[in-house]
Amino acid sequence: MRRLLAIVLGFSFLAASAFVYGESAPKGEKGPAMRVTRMQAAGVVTEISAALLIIERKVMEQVERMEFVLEKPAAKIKAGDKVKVSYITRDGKNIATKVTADIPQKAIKKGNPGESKTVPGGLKPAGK
Amino acid sequence: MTVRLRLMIVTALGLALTMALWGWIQLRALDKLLIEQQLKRLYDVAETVNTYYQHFPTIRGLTALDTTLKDHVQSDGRMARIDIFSVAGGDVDYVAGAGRVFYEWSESPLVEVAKNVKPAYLKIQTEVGPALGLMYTSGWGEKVGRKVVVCVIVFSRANAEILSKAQYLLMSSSGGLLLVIMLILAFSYRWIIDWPLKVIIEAIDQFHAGKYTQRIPMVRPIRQKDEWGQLAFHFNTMAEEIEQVLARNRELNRQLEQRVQEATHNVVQLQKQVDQMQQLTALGYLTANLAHDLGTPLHSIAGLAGLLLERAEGWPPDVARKLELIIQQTQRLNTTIQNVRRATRLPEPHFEVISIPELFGDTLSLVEPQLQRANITVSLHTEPNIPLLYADRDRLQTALFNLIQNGLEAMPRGGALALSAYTVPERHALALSVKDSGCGISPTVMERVCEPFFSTHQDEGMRGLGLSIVQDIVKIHGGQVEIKSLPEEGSEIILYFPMVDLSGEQAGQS
Repeated sequence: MRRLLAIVLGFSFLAASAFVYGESAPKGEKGPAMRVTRMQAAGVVTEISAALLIIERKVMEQVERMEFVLEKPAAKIKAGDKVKVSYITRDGKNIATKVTADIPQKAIKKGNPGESKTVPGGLKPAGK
Repeated sequence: MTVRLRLMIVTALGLALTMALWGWIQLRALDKLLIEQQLKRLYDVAETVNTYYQHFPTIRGLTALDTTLKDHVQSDGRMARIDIFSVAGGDVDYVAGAGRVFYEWSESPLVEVAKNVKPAYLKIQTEVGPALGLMYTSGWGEKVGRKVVVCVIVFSRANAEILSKAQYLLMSSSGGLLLVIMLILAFSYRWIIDWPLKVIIEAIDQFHAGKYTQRIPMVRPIRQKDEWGQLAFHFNTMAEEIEQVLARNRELNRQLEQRVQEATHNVVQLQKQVDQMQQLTALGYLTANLAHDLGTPLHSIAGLAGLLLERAEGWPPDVARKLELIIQQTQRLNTTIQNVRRATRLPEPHFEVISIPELFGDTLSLVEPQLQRANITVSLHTEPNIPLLYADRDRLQTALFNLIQNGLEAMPRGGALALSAYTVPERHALALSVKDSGCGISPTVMERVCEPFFSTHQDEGMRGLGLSIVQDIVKIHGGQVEIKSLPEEGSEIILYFPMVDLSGEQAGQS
């Protein structure tokens, strides 16, 4: 009878653990909808100073010069570098929030970003 | 650990394993369904963006492209990010993008997608939670050899929550179900296994403790048709048989005890008979000597008194009377002596037809325990078709008993005793031989062994009559005794009995 009680208690513990685990489901620190949406552009740096970054961007044979106000100096970036700029627009100005060198990833050798899987063949867009 | 508990543990483990596997399959299926649902939506978005980019009027300025992507992301709270890449071979160029989170796409899957023109997806962990990303291409590119790949990421936190809830529900419901099943099993196993087993074990314990009439009751919880019923039936049958065997054993023991008592009684009787014969023989020798020693002077006295009485003249009458009295008293004494001799004489022999193997068998069965105790092995040899013997059974048994006793005394550390019977045609006799492997008889002793009261033993008791009694018995039967012995090589005593034509006797008996 004592053993039976031990088994019942064991299962109760399991059930309680499952409950606690269920209750502690992943919760984000901040709602994703509340986060600011940043745009991202890539191009070659033509001019850079502590407060200003000018890149030359080429899309579909259309070359365009874009100016960004730097929130903080991008010390490692110099003219001629290929960069990616995350930015927002404020008062009609592009404010660069993040400037990173656009180096091919083969050279960076980052960790495994996650295994990609081919989308199942039968899958069709919801609207079609 | 009881059988019930072991069964419960095995069942619990089996159920838990099955439920875990089943739950895992369920969760995987649910996850797949949720991903498929999200992928459909991602597919829509990616196709829309691709079409937009395909027809984007660059004249509006590239900022317009960024703003459109930003607006598209902001229009849906679950949207995390949209990026456009232009891929040519292994060369990947970033075109534009917008997003709530930062994510650096790996180039190799982009190249693969562009190469195969097959969309692919991957699970991503962003800084605000889990997400699902789709890499899509329609095969279109700005230039020949280039292909545009649109990457869309949506937050899949809701999916994770659904999965987590489902997992919780599965685990809690499985746990509860398992608990209920275990409780049901605990009671059912108790009913089906514990109770009947307890009844059977109790019955077996009582049987083992000596209650041989104990049986397993064929009532609830033991049902006649199930395995418990069969077990109980077999046990009861076995118990019945054991009880019968025990009863038979008790009966056999009783009979054996009776036979032992009878055999003991026979031995005691024979011993008494031998003792009586020894006493009578001893008394016979004494009275014979007494009669001889007293009879001679008495005869002389009576003769002399008679002679004196014959001289009648000259004797005063009272003297003659006294002489007559002396003669009368000596005659009376003589008669008394003869009466004593008659009284101490051995009883008349009772002759009958005897089978020698039977005689050997009966005699040996009486002394067998003594021989076993003395570690003496006995061998019996009887000539086939040996004739019957016409003799006094008791006396012959006494003679054999005496010879066996002598053999026993001659082999204090054990040995071999051989009894044999055979015909001796040259003597026209039947020979009964008793041979031992004892110490033998020295030549000096050999001359006197048949003398009454001669014994090599110094202890008290009626000694030295065994062989003389044997000799007397054989003499009564008209036979002879032969003793063969060498010191340390054993002795053989052969009794020869004359062969008698028993055809008339046998015919009379039949």
